[in-house]
Amino acid sequence: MELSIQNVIEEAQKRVEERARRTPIVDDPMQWERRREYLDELKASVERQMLNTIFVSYSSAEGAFVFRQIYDTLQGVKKLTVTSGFTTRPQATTVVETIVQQLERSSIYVGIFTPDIRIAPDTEGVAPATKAVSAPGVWTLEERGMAMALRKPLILMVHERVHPDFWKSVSAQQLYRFTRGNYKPVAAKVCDAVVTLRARLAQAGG
Amino acid sequence: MRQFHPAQPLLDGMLYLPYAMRAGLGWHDRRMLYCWTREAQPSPASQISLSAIKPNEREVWTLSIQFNDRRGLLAELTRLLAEQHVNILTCRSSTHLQNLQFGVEMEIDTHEYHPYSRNRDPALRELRARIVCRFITDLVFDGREPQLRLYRNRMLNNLSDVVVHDDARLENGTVLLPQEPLQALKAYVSRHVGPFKARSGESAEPLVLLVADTDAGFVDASVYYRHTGHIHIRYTAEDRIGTLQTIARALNAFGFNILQVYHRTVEIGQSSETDLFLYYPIDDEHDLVTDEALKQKLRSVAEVDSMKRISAVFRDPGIAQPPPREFTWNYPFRM
Repeated sequence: MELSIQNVIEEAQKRVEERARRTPIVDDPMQWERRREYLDELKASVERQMLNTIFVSYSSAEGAFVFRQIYDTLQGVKKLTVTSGFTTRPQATTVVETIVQQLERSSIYVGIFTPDIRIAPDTEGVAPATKAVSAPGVWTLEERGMAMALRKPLILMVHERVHPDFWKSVSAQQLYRFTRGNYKPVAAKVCDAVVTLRARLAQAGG
Repeated sequence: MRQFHPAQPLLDGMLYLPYAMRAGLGWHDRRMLYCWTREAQPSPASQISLSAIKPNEREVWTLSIQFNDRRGLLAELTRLLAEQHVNILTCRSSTHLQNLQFGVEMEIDTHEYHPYSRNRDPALRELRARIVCRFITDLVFDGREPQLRLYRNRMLNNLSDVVVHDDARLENGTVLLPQEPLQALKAYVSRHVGPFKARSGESAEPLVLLVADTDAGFVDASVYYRHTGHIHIRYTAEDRIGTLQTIARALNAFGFNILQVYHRTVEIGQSSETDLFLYYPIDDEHDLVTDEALKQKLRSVAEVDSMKRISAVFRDPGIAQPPPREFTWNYPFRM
C-alpha cells in the first residue's frame, strides 16, 4: 500500500537532513535550507487541506439520503471537502486501499449507522424488548475501525433501530440518534458538530 | 511556443505541414491525426484544428522537471508515475550544462490517476508533492521553488461543442482535411460574399494559414478565400518601444480585426518584422472590397507613423508542398 502524503513528506525531510550532514557545502550554502523550507511549507499546506476534508461513512439507500443532507451542508455551505468510501478509485487498487487512503486524507470520521441487516435477538420465542434489532452495513463498521486505527476523531449518527452493541462500546466524540422522521434536523446538528470539532483541531494544530 | 507558416493554397483538401511544425509537435510520418472544429453558428467553422490526441478523450497534462543529473533518475520518475496510475504519452529528456543537469518534459494522461484526488485537487497538487518529495535532493531549485511545472493542457481537455471529423494519417508531411467543414465554408462564402461569386480558377481556391501550438500539441488551420476580407501582410519597422502598439492601434482605427500576429526583432534596436493575418468585415454594403482595395487601405496604415519607419509588404501564397526530393545519391558520379 502506498505511503500517505504526510509520510512521504516526512521521509523527504529525513533525506534532506541526511544529505545536508553528508554533503559539504561548497558553492551554494543555502541549497539544503531552501529544501527544508519548501518541505515545511508543503507539510503545512497538506495539513491544512487534510483539516478541511471530512470522511462520511454510510451504507444503504436510507444512509444515502442522510449522506446527501450532510454533503450538501458541509461541501456546499461550509465549503469543506466531503469524501466517502464510495468515491471512485483507480482500477488497480482495492476497496480497502481506497478507503484507507481517503481516511488518511481526512481529519474527522462521521459514521451514519442505518439499520441495514436484521439480526435475530437472543430471546427465543419472546418478542425483543427493544426496537433496536438491526446491525449497520458491514463497510461502515470496517471504516469506523480503520478510522480508529488512524486516530481520527469520530462523530456517530445512529438510527434508533441499530442495536447498541454496534455503537455503545465505542467512545465517539459525539453521538446523535435519529429516526426516519427527524434525520434532517439531526443531520444539521451533526454538521454543526463537525464544524466545531474542525475548528478545535485547527486550534490545537496551529 | 507558437509556430507560423505562410499561406498555402489548399488543393483538394491536401494540407502540407512544414517540417519545423512536425518536428516541434513530434508528429512523424504515418501518425494518425484528429481533425476537429467547434460548433460555430451561424457561420461555419473556418478554422480546422488538428491534434494527435483526440480532444476530451484523455486528461492531458504537461510535466516539466529540471534535475541535477545522476544515474537512474528517469527509471525512478517513470516508476513513480506508474505507481500513481499516470500514463506517459510523450517523453523528451536530455542533459544540459556539461551533463550536470537533466531536463525532462512529458505529456501525461492523468485519466487513471486517483480520480478522487483529481476531483478534490484539480491542480494535481498531491502528485506534484509526491514528485518533489521523491526527488527532493535531485531537483534544481530556482530561488525557493523547485524547477517543476505541472499544468493541464488548456486545449485538449473539456472542450465544449467540439466536433471531431474523420481522422487522417500524416503521409509525407501532408494530411487530407475533412471535406465536410471545407464544403460548408465554401457554400457559405459563395452565398454571402459578393466578389467571390464572380471568381473562378485560382481565385476560387481556398488558402490556408497554419499556426502550431507546440506546448498544447495542436495545429490551427485557418481556411479563407481571396477577396473575402482576409489578408496576410508583413510590416517592417524600426525596433523600438511602441512599434507593435502603433501598428495595432492603426489597424484597429481602420476597422481591421487581427487574427494572427507574429512580431519579432530582426536586429535589436534596428529593425523588426510583423506578420499579421487580418480580417476586414465585408457585408453587402462593402461587397466591392477586393484584396487590392484592402492592400491600399493597409499601406495607409504604415503612413500613420509620422517618422515613416513602417513599410508594408504583401506576400503571395506559397506553394502547397515542396516538390518531393529526388533521390540523387548518384548525381555526383554522373557524367
